[in-house]
Amino acid sequence: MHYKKKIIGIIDYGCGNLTSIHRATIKQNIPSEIISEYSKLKFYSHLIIPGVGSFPNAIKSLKERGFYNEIIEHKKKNKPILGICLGMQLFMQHGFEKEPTKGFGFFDGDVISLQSISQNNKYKIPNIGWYKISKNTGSFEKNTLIQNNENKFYFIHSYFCDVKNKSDCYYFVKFDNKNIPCIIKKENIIGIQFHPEKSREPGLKIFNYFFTL
Amino acid sequence: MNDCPRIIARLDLKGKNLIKGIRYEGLSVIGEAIDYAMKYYLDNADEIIYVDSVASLYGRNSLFTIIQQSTNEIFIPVSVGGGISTIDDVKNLLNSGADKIVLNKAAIENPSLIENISNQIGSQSLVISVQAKKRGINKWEAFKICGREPTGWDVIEWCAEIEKRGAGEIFLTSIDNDGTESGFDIDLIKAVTEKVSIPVIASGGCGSVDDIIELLKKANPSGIAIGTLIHYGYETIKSIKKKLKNAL
Repeated sequence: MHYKKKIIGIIDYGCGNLTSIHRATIKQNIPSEIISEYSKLKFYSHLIIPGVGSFPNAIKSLKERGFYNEIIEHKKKNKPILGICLGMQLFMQHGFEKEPTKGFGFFDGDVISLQSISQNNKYKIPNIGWYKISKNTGSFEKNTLIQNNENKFYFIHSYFCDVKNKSDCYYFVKFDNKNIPCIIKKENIIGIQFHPEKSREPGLKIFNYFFTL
Repeated sequence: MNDCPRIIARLDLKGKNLIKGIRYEGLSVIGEAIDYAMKYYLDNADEIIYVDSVASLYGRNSLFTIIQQSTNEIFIPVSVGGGISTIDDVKNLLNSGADKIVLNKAAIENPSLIENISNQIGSQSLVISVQAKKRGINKWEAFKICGREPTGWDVIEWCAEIEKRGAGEIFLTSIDNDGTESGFDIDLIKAVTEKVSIPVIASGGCGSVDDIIELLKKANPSGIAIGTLIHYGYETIKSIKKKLKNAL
């Protein structure tokens, strides 16, 4: 089924603050709808996978609601998908929160706890705060994702994506002196660790960028 | 720099209004809450926390309206607390646009509620509010219902329990200092931030930016919640952040 117009579908699988993401796209004059039925997914040109909660619950919920395979189909057609926070983490091969769970495997590497790379009590977990992010100087694709390196973005997470291919990493954020990938991209799949819908203007602009893909 | 704690605007609500209290007694109406929230968003606040101070006595409609209005125009995290007691309450508030739910009474009366909620919606969405009253040197007791009812819990032990049960954050208020503009209870905040490895938001007593600077020299809160300082216009959030940047 071929879609005739560009429109974002925000997947409702019971995990995430859909309202905020929806309002963010409305604010930016981007057409979007919340999708609660998996059969409707194919009518959307772009998908957003939100996420708050645990990795195993999220995968379970996506499968139970029929979204899991539809998302894979969407990727096979090279249609753009944006994963936010836990949504991004689901793109990895495995998550180890609570129990080992397989993810979509769109990126090589697993989801690892921040606790495993930092035992300094000065750095609290969940990692919550507004942070500047740094561009991966090794990444070659020109992009207009982030306009200004002085911008800060809102992070809240206890896990991160240990992405194996550095060329998939567009931006990093520092946590206890270690670099964590916070924007990853491969073809039309983008993962963002922070919450663009909660990061003011600079975050809202990311939705515009995504919609240009 | 990435190390500056979050500056969070704390708005105590009564119906649709912003109110301010001193030691949880004596309230004055300052104006419409949504107007102030919008003002603080534009003034570079890192987060907004709404505390519905008479939630258990009146209906909830105003609170839902305020959250919905916030979601339309305010693109920073919005937390909500005040008389929230059931998982359904929590889900309804999250669905209407709140990012984090703040619990006190319900959690301290039934600590297993913390795991319950955290397992269903994620620890990141759950903040436990701890109201601390000084009981001696380095000893505080946890209170509920806007600092009116003692619980018998030692604050430090209760905070350790909160972390163990899986909450994402602690919102720590000094009952003695709240609304007095006399400064934070630094010993309290230091004791809690040293005990737990989850983020702590410090609240209660801030009368000047110097109070914040003093606090940050000795303790490690991840966020500072301010009310009086900004509601009465002594400082703006931008001026606070600028002064902090210069001092630290």
